[in-house]
Parts: sequence; C-alpha cells; structure tokens
Amino acid sequence: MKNWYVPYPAIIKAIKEETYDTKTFSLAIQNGKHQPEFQYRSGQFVEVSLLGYGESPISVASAPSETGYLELCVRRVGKVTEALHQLSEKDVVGIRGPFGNGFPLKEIRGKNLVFVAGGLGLAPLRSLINTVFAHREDFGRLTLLYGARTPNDLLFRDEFAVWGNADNAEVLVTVDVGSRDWGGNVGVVTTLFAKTKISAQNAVALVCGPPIMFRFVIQELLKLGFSEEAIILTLERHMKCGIGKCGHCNLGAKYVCLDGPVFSYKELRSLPGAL
Amino acid sequence: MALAWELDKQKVPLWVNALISEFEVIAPVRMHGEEVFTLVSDGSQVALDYVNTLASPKEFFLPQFETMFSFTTGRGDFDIEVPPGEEKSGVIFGIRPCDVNALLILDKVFSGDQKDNYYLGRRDRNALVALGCNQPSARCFCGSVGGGPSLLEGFDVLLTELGASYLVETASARGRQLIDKAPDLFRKASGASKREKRRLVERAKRLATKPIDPLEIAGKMEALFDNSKWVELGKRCLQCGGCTYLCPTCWCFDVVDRVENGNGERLRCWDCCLLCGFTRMAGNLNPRESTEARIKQRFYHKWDYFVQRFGTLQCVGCGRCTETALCHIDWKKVFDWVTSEK
Repeated sequence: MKNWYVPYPAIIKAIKEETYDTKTFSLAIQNGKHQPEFQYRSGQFVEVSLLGYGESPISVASAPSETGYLELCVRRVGKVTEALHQLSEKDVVGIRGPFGNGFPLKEIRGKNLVFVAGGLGLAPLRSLINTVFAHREDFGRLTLLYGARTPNDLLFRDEFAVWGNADNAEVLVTVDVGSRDWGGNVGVVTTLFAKTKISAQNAVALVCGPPIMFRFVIQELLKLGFSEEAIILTLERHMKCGIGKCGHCNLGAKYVCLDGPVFSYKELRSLPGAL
Repeated sequence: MALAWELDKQKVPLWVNALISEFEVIAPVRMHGEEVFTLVSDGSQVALDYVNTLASPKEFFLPQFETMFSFTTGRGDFDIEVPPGEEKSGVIFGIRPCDVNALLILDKVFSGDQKDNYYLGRRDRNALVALGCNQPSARCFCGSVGGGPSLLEGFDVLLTELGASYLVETASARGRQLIDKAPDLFRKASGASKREKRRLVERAKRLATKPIDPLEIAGKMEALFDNSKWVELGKRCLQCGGCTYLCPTCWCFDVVDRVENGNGERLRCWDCCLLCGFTRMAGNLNPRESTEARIKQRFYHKWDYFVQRFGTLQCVGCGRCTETALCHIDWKKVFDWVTSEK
C-alpha cells in the first residue's frame, strides 16, 4: 500500500533569485519506485521536504508542458523556506504530490482570461499562463493584472515583456509603494482595472493573492459583470498532509488540499471563513 | 451472525491471560483512582467496573506522537526509513461502545482514496472486545447521537454485564478466535440471559438519552453562524486543547521534524483546532485568528461539516469535552441553546 507521507528525492537543477527574499527553484524529480513519472496540472501544489526542518506546501510555478523539471517560487518566511534558501544547485530536497485539483482547463478553454495576481500569488497563475501560451489557440485574450508591494518585490519580471508582447495579450503591473526609478503604476492591484478595458463577456477571471486582495478584486470583477462561477480563485492554507487527513485546511465540508486549492467564487461564498 | 456465550466474572482474568499469551492486550487498569487504557501483563490488572475512562483508547490507533519515518541529515543524504509496523496483533479489551463508534468515524477519515497505512495498519492488527454500558454517567448522551450505550457493529466481541457474569457476543471470525483461545471458560448463553441483556440495554439507553436532537441541531447550525453566542463562548475558551485531546473523534495532527545527533525523525503529533497556530500560514496570516472563529470551527465541524462530508455526526456523546473543559463550556448547554433558537 502506498505510503502518502514519504517524500521522494528531487535535485535542485537551478536557482533563480527573483527578489531579495524570493527564489525560484528548478527541481528534477529523481524517479523512484513510487513515482515513475511525475505529472501535474497547473494549479496543483507539492509538499516540499527539508529533512530535519519539515515540510511546506508550495504551488507549482512551471507549466506541465515544460517537461523534465518543476519550478517552485519560494519566499523566505519560515523554518523550511529559510533552510531551502540556503541550498545550492545539486542539493537534494524531498517532494510529495502533486496534490489538489488544479485549474479547470476544460471549463476555461476558448475563453478570454483575466489573471489578477498579488505578490507571490503570481506563482500558481504563472503555471497556467505558461500553459495558455503552450496551447495559445485554445484560449482567447490574455490579460494579467499584477500588483506587488514595491518594485523590488516583483516576481518573474523578465517574463512580463514575453507575455505582454505576445499577440492578443496584455500585462499591467503596479506596486503599492513606488521608488525613485519606478516609472510604472503605483496603487493596489484593483487600480489597474481602470487602466485597461476588461469585458466579462466570454471571460473568466483567475485570481490569487493575499486574503485582503481577494475581497477587493472580487468586488471589482462582480461590478464588471463577471458571474460568480467565472471568478476562479486559488487559496492558500497551511496544509500539513496534502491528502485530507491532518485537518489544517478544512473549510466547511471541503478540504483545500483535496477539493481545492482552486475554487470558484460561487463555491467559496458558501464556505465559512474561506475569504 | 452473532453468537452468544456467558462468562463468569471471576473467569475474566483467565481469559485475558489466555489472550496475553498471543496478543498485546490493552485494557483499563486502575491507577491513582482512575481507569487508564494500558498494556497489561496479567489478567488480574484489568478493571472492568468503570463508567468510562478519561482518555479513550484512540492513542493506540493514532498515537500522540508517532514516527512516520526516520532519516539522517548529512548534506546530500536522502535515506528515509519507514518503521516496520508492529508485528504482534493486539486486543483492545473493555473498550466502551462510544469509543468503538468513534473508531468507525476515524476509519472514514483515514481510509478513502488516500489511505493512511499507519492508522489502518493498527486497526487491522487490533481486535476490539467492547464492553456495553449499563450505567451511563450524567455526562453521557450517547443514546441521543447513536454512540452507545451498546453496539450493533464495529466490535469483534461485545461484553454485557449481567450481575455475576458477562453475556459474550461475537460479530466476526476474529472475535470467535478470541473465544477459542480459552473455550472452556465460556458456556452457551441462555435465552433468559439474552432477554436480560435487551432489558439492560433499553434501560441504559433511556439513561443515556438526553433532550438532544442531532438532526434538529444540524439543521439549525447554518442560520446561527453569525450569532453573538459564539463570541461569548470564544471568550470563555482558554485554548487548553483538553477537549480535542480527550475527544475520541478528534484526529487533527501536525507534522514536525526532530533531529538529534544527525539522526532525524518526521513525527506526527496531535494538534488542536482551538489553538491559535493551527491555521497560521506563512507571513503570519491566519484565517481563524479569533477564539470565536476557532470554537465555532470545532462545533460546526462535528455537527455540520462532517455530516455534509461523511454523512454522520462527528460526536459519539461521551461527554469528555464537557468533563475536561476548564472554562466550563458545557456542550449540552450549547445544544440546549441551539435547540431553543427558532
């Protein structure tokens, strides 16, 4: 019988410094008997193990179309992530997963996609954005509204131009607090809604960010005419097991690790304490 | 099909000794005036004349601390060793019906598509010899929620006290094997004994049935979610965690690493949804920051969310939560309040 709690090894192939406190780790799964082939969907997460430090649930930032590696964008905030930031290329970490439902690819096929990300919330959305670019003909217009605290907190900034310059795509970026050499938008992410034309027609919004951002973004999207089903959010919770046992991510009758982390606003509205 | 025998009370230690020769027997033992489930080495240690233990035998299936695997922590090391499961089979002897029903609830959680080998392995290895309740205590309300005072399923052997003897019933081949360890101690049960058992169970059921209607309560929960009563209960909760640790149907666990001299273990240990850190996330964000939100979580999980997900209450009516609460939150009074709301 499979032991769901035992991680399997993955080797760090590359480390990219995104910001002063965030790195993107590119991992290669070492094929073991329990994991002959690591396959995941955009929006799923893994449990990253650092033996001796513990485990953290981290969403996958790469797209399944990028084979041979797995990217995790990790901010240094706690015991495990602090230890992970000390590692170098060729070091080994543990991985369990992938867990969770992932984004509803079938349902969003053919739609215009409005991504709204706050801070580290861009990581799971980036997985889907890259999936969309890998199957560009399957989707309509792509708009990304991204907000971070300061210019120094912007993640994946070298990719904005790649996404934004593509056909039928637009990227808008803002920061809460600007700096002397920042010439871009200043203000919370919702201020970007006024800077472009977003239509709810045949569109789906995909949102990830801190809880306070969810509340304001949902209001904006509803005002624009998005239905509750067309607002798709991915939630953060401190899942300790990833398989619906440990109880930490329970929300009403759901477990974020099994039934989520991706939910529509319609689903989340009825779950107490979700937003 | 249940089969029935009778066993004289003074022969119980002999039967236990016969079981000890082959199994690890966990049974209630009186220590410092209190009954505690523990490993016994002699049948004479077993104390079956108890109302209920303060702690259920949950820890023998979900230990308070458990090594999920061990490892070494040298750089580049990735050697994980899963501890071998205990080889010897066990018998949980004298477990109360509420605690058997609690295990049936935990089974739902730990089975499913992602099976938990640790818990399920112990469930497989351990037989249950249950002891029906003839004298439920004032704190018990198992009769109202289907947790007791007797059992129709979930046991291997069921004992019911009949004065100087026990009626002994089996519901499984494994139960029958336990009888067969000392067949000479048992005699075939008479019709009168079976009738006496039914009378005692009916009487106990009346004692253990309190004016609590689970369906009515579960039905009213949603409308009461924003009621100010939860604020008041939240203020009283001292976050000691006692109710969750003693609750036979609470299972939430944390996963932590412990390292000594380069040798590490990944442990799981009981956690508690009433503690502030339970839902704390990276960056100090906490979706259930207030005690009000947390006490509501515990109550709603047992009486509403679990019902929605698994189709049964997550409460067996043992009353341990009320018994242990330093803050004197009496759940029966909470039920009264919910019931009295329109």
